[in-house]
This record gives sequence, structure tokens and C-alpha cells, in this order.
Amino acid sequence: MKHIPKQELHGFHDGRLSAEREREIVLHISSCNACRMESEDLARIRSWILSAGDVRPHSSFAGDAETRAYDTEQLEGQWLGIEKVAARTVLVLSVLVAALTAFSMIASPPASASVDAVLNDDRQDSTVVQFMVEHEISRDEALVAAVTKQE
Amino acid sequence: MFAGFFCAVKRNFPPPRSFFSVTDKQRAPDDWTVVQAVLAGKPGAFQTLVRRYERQVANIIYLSLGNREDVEDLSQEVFLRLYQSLPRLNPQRSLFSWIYRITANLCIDEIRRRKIKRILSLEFLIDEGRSLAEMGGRVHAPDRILEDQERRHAIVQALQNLPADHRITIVLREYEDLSYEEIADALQISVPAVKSRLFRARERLRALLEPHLRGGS
Ligand SMILES: [Zn+2]
Repeated sequence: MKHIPKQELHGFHDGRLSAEREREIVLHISSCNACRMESEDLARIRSWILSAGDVRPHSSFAGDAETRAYDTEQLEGQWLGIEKVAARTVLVLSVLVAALTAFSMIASPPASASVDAVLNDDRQDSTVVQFMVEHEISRDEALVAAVTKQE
Repeated sequence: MFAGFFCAVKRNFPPPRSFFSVTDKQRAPDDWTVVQAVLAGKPGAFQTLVRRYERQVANIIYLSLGNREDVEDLSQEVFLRLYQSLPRLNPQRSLFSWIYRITANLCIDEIRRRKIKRILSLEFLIDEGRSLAEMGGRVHAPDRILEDQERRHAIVQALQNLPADHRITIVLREYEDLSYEEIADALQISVPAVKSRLFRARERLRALLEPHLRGGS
């Protein structure tokens, strides 16, 4: 006896087959233990899932959901106000910082141009130390090398 | 935190199938009339909508995640997302499919988030061991007739062994009685993909529940 393909049994279980094919399957199942068992398994799994879904929300759930939804909307409205103020403040501050930076660039030349600047700058001082270690030279020699390199 | 807020219904509680036996077109105008009222800011309108779907949403979440503790918080999140999306929704489409989409996405995200968390904390070793031991105990007692509660626990446990997307697909099919097309719409996948997920999910459940299927009614 040729059994019903599994996929078709699932289709049968979901009512996806033609009436003609359904009749054939019902007929087959009535005389085939293996296919009947498979079909019954599918039906049992469905009924067990149905009975397992036994959670029922508390009677105040819907009211709470509405309150929460409306509250969130109001809260978002408030936040939107705060956000607008914050955005404006950030914009004003950015413009100020940009203007100050531009002014300081014009007012004083870049610090890397002189030996004084090298001496006053920690980061550049570390470059000098690096030169001293790498080339086994004196601090003065390293200073000259660092400034030459920068220029 | 919300333990007891959601309560288990007695075993003969009728599943919410009747609501879904009407066709899409029949139910759509009702939902959208309510949505209009919500958008107009009518008090009580949104809870009408929530009441209509709360049980379905809660049970999809419960069956997908396998525990009751987080059902309320996640259900609230679903309805909050629904509320926030209402002004953008297309009234030509069914609202319930949108609700299922939000619920499904939330469940899948949550399942994945928890999986990562479990892997990180290595708790999964203990959990897997426990559920396998429970399954094993039943393998050695195939002739035992299972009580309803035990069987419900077994099916919920078995569902947790499916990949997230298979799990949500079979819950929408078996619990919510959605058609392949409705599931495809809710999950944004093709009908053949629904079919394939259902097939694999059921075959896996059958294997996992073998002792129960052979042992009882
Ligand atoms: Zn057969």
C-alpha cells in the first residue's frame, strides 16, 4: 500500500487539499494504521497547543494599556519640548565654539613653528624624548631634529 | 513582578476561535471604526481595541516564550507599539494582521535576546539538562496517562525547542487558526515558507512529544 506523503498529510490537516483528494485520504486512513497515527498526532498536537494557551489577561489590562498609551504620548510631547530646547542650545554652543576656534587660529600662528612652542608642548616634548632615545643624541640635538622635522 | 496579574484559565476555557471564524472583510470595518475613535481621542476607544485582541496576544506570547511572568509586560509593549503606529496604518488592510506582526516580531526578538543572554550566562546548560531530564522521565513511562496540566507543560516545553520563527508560525496556525496566507502576511514571508516552517515545526514537535503521543489519549 502506498502511504500518503507527509507533506500531503499536513495539507490535509490544514484543509488545504481538494475535496476529491480529501476523500481519498480519508479512505486511505481508514485502512492504514501508520497514516492514521500520523494524522492523529497532528490533530493531538493542535489540540494540546490550543489547551495550553490558557492565559487570560486580568480585567484591568485593557484599561491599563490605554492609560499607558495616552501617558506615553503626553510624556513624548513633553520630551519633544525639552528636546527642542536642547537642540537649540547645542546649535548655539556649536556656533560659538566654531567662532572662537576661528578667532584663535587668526590671532596666533600654529604652535609648531618655533622652538619655544616645542618646549611648551608636552606632546611635542615626547617627540623630543623619542628622538633622544632613538638616535642616542642630547636633548638639544633632539630638539633641533624635532623642530626641523615639523618644519 | 506581575505574577498573578495574568491568570491561567480553567482547563475547559474555550479558545478564541469564534472571533477568527469571521472573514477578514467582515471584521475589518469594526476594527477601523474603533481606530477612528482612538485617533479622535475618544476615551475608552483604545481599550475596546485592546480587549478585542488581548487574549490572543497574551497567549501567542505565552506559547512562544514558555513562561507566564513576562506575558503582561510584553503584551503591554505590543499594544503600546500598536497605539503608536495607528496614525500610519492603512485602513485597507486588516488590523489583526498588523497586531500579529507586532506580536510576532516582539516574540522573535525576545526569544533571540534571551537565547543570547542564556548562552552568555551558560544557564542554558542547566535548563536544557532539566527539560531533557523531564522528557526522559516520560520516555521511561510510556504507559502513563498524562494529566492535562502535565501535557500542557510538555507542549509548551516542546515549543521552546523550536527555532523562534518556526515557533511563532505554528502558534499562529494552531492556536490562532490563521490561514497560510494570513500567517504569510503577518510574518512577511511567502506561503511556501509558511508551509515549510509548519511542516518542520510539526515534525519536530512530533519527535519531541513522542512519549506523550504514544502514551496517552
Ligand atoms: Zn498509509
